[in-house]
Amino acid sequence: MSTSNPTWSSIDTLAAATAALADSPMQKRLRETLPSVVIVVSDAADYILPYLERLSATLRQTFDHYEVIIVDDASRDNTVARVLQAQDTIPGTVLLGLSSQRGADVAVVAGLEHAIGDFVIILDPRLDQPELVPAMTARALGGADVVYALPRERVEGIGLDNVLTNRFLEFVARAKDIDVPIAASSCRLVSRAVLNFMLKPTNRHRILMLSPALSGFEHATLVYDREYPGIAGRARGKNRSSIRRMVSLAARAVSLTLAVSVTPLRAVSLLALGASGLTMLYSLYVIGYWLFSETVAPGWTSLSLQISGLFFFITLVLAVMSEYLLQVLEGTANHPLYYLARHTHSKSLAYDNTLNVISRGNVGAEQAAAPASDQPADPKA
Amino acid sequence: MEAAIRTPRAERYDAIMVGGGFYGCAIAGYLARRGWRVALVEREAELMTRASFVNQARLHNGYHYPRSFRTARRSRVNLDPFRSVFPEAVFSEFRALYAIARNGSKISPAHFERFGQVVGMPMRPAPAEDAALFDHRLIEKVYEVEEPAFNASILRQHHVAELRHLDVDVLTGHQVISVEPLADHRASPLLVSTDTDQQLVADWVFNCTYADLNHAYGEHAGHEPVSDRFGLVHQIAEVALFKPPPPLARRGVTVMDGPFFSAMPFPALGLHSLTHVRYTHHAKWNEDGELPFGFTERCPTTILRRYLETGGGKFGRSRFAWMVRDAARYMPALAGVPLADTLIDIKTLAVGTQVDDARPILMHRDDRMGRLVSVMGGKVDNIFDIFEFIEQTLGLATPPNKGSAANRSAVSAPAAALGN
Repeated sequence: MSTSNPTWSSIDTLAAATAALADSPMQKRLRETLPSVVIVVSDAADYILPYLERLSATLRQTFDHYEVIIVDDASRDNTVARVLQAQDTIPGTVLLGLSSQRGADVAVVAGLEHAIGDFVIILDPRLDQPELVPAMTARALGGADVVYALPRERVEGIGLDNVLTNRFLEFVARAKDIDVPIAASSCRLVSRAVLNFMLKPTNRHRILMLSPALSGFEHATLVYDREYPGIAGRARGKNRSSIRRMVSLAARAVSLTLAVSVTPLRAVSLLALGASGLTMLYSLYVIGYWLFSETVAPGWTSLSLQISGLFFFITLVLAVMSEYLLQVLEGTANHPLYYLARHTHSKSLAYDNTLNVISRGNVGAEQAAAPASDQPADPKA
Repeated sequence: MEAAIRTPRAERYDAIMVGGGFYGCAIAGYLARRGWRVALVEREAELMTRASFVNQARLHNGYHYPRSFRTARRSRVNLDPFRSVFPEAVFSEFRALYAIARNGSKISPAHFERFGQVVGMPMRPAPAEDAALFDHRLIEKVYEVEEPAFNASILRQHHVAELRHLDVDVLTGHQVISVEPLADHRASPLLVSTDTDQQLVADWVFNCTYADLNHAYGEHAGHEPVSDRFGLVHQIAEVALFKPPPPLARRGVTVMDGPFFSAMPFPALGLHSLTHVRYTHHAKWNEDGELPFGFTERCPTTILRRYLETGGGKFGRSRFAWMVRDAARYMPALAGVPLADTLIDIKTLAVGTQVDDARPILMHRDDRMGRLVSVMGGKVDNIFDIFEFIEQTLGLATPPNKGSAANRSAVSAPAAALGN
């Protein structure tokens, strides 16, 4: 598959981008940048704690200021309890708990709408390693408003699911005439300018996959080998091409296609119009047959006219309704996408290196590592 | 500053103020005007450099309290007297805007308007050019209101001049290390000693040390607190300062009502302040509870000093990076604005008042030393309530050592009624 896209040869890898971080002017710029990392979790109790610790350690190394937004898509296990526990010790996190399960796309939108950073990076904790964040941010500081992280398995087209996803994106990109890498995954970085564009439409959650590309801003790419931090070794290859996964991919593809394009609706509408034309022709044929044929069975003419006439009206109505539906779809969906049941913050905002140093070999190292800022959920100024 | 550090002419006073913040200065002036001999002892090198200076400099006119009509009315009652006593310190050469957030706000525009009508506060929808400064995906409606700021430097100059004029002995750079009764009864005069070996005697001592109210002896370990302990909650609070970009230069903005921000003139330094409900408070602790950062010193100002020392000073500790980025989502003009300076100090509340924004003045008389009065004010603009209290409840209209004996007993009678 990779040979079909000529630009892939010039693509950077995560390793190369990470190596480039050693550049000291870039280090300084990274220090002054505030990234927001959005991760969506659902029933993630098994891996969320180590993941947050690893993410936090990575961010601390590169950035002076950052935030991690954890969106809980109404987990049924004790994910929330784990995250709340993590907020005692891990600085700079925000937990948004959705009141009901809304799916990954809506959950990502919730995270994006609360992000304050200069750049927002979306990671899937099951698939994407935290080390992507500094590399992608450096890429963005190099002058790209969108950075796509391309999983190597997608770039190389390994597995039916990856091939089909690539083909679909290729098709949509051509149909909509947009510039999107066909191996683009859910892991991407967007600048604030692109974010503002992405959050405007009411169907922003449906077009999330393509909205950075629809914005028209410059993009860069980065190839990486997924580490699957949230999936235990044995489960990684399993179920990748299962019927369930294929159906879910197909459903997402249909939803995305319908959201970014009115062509299918227009096609159905034209089809209905064509069908009503055909029934009209059939009616003319029936009348002609009745006029010129001498062997017409009694009742055939009236029955045929009745049927073709009714189908004419039905298909006409369908055609008109489709056109209206098309316009209605564009203007509706004013209901809230999600509702927050919980909105909590880490006890501290910034990691406190100095206090750690001071308390080393002293009492209360644990306490010092967790400078308490007991912020009430909604204090008043 | 030109602050009058003068050697006291005598060591006997009618009253001594411990703490030269806004309340200490105002009470000193109030008593001196009534003929009292007053001394004021301040730990810092100048008057009014701590909490009296480090705050939003907002002269509340009620808009801030849509969930407490009483507090809103009270704020409005206090504004005019303040304006007439400190006219030169009131800064109103800017347009005050209140914006109601679309999501996550505890009030709606309809509620805010109704509230304005009921309390009788002037407000009208902001002109289009002002409303255009906000992102309307996040801000539902913007109102223009009347709410000035105060210039803390001018307030300080006012007090320095007034205290000099009234012959109040101002001792700056002196830390009080003990207050002791001269005799063994509750109405005994009190002996005040400082770390500079000054010894002053007074009939009344006012402890106006705000955050250190229970630690007026500062870091002098081994001393008991001056008074019985108040239930106090402390917050390390940051007021970040920036040079306003042109669209904000003559505007003050408050986004209501929840985890939002305020960007308004800080007249004392000619800059704008940025405060954010979510980020301004670096730490919060109950004085009797677990101390923050694993520190063991209980004195709040010591905790603050250590917090700043261990974190690269005020700039190292600043949370401006978060504040300005969140604020810029609501007001794009704030994007990329650099930090000019930042003020970090302790903000103190009485236990039980955090919920309703009421910020009443705390008054307390010591059990053992009946003439040791502790006062903690919450806001600059309700200073007038304290004068009323001193006059009516303590009965301190005339100086204790002047006038006839009858007059003096009349002074101590209400004091006795308070539980001598």
